[in-house]
Amino acid sequence: MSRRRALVVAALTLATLVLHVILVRAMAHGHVAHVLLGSGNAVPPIGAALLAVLLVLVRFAAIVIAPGALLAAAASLLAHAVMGPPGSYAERSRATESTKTSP
Amino acid sequence: MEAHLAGFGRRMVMSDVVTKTPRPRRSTRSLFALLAFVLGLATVPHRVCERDAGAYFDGDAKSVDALAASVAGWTGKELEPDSFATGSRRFDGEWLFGTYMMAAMGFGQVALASDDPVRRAENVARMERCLDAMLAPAARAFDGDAWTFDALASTRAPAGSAQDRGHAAYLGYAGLALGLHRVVAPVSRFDAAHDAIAAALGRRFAASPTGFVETYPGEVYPVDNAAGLGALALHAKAVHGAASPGLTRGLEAMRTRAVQPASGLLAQAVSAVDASPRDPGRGSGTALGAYFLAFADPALSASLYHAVHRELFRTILGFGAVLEHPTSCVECMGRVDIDSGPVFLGFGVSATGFAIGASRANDDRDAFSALYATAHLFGAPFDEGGTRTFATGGPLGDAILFAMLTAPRLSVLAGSLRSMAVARAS
Repeated sequence: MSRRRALVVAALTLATLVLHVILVRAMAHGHVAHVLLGSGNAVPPIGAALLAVLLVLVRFAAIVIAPGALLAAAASLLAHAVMGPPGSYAERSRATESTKTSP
Repeated sequence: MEAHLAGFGRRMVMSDVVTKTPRPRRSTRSLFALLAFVLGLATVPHRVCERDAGAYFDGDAKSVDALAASVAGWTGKELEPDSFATGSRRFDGEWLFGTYMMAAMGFGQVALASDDPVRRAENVARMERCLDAMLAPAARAFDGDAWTFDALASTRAPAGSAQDRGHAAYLGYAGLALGLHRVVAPVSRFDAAHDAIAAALGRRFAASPTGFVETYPGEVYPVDNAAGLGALALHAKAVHGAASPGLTRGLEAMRTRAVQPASGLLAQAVSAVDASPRDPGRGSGTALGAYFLAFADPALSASLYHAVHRELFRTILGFGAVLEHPTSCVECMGRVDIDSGPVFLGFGVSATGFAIGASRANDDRDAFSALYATAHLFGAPFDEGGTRTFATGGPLGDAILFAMLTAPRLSVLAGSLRSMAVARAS
């Protein structure tokens, strides 16, 4: 993962976390679960249904995916700091050295 | 020529350096990132979600009180059967009744575990609001419609008459909540109703040819009978009386007919005629039965809980969940009903939620934490103003989780009941 991509992943993950907080608040304040329960077998209000589906997806992403994504982005940024950008002169030099010294 | 070839060879080496060597470097970076992702996936999410589990397991007052305040918010305003539109009038009524009953259990359990008289009195008052609503005609209607006779009226029917039968769900669940209330508040306006319900249940278990009491005409559900048996046991403890013969008979029927010999799970339904099981046992009924029976027969509760843990409990990335049906029952897979709630990949929402209470009652901290992590993930708790509500729960979900998260631990329950008795005597 390039440094730019790592930063994009980190930014998207943080945005997901913020969106998650907003959605949980909206769902709790709107008593959306109660509204959905109240609609029973009839078609639920579209707003409440969309909010519930969105919350489930975003919550899954925020809690299950986000920690790994943030760690992966951090790992990529660390690799960038230690090894330089992929295909950089320093990396090519090290690669050449390793090629030369390899049997 | 040789020099030319040597130059070519050098170019080949250079070419290798430029086009091939960076690839392993990129692969190393990608592998590094992938490993970091997997590490994050496997170690962080369930730990984030179960971070409050220890506080609930240990009965931390601040955490529990936030849940109690939220449920008190729901039950403090009037809920109607219309609030639960499942498409079935009976199930709407069951859910209304279930919300007040589970909330009452939660408040009663908090009061039972509390040493602080102010906190106990506050929760007893909240519990009494739920008991009033639970005994009101609107909450009794689902049962009365099925029997064409009111459950409370049936407790006054002459012993052995045609009307002195059934109503296991309403009387069992109501009796359990009233029994817990009487343990924490020995004298109250509910005593007469409690005595009448316990007497009716005792008679009906003792007189039943199968040892079970029908929930609806011709329908017998062992989990409802488990609530009735818990009610009989709590009544005996609350009034310091001898256990009803019906309790002994009902427990025997439960052990010999409802518990499946191979799996140890509780059949969800048995025949009203000969008590033969209608299914090989299910997660929701067994877990809820283990919770109810903790009040009546700790050994049977432990046996049911261990069966759930052995046969149905699984963890995925540290998140605990309970299968609704045993894997040995191929034809059961995918079956969903009002008891199971939604089922995903075989895991039941009800089974997982009820197992939280069964695991706490049976002192299994690890399973409790793993199951709570799942409830936290899908329940989406929201904290505000000293309350905690589960955003996807609604009144029934909040009430059930409240009751399950505060289920009395068997190691503590006996002591709590003893200290209540001592306090009352002094």
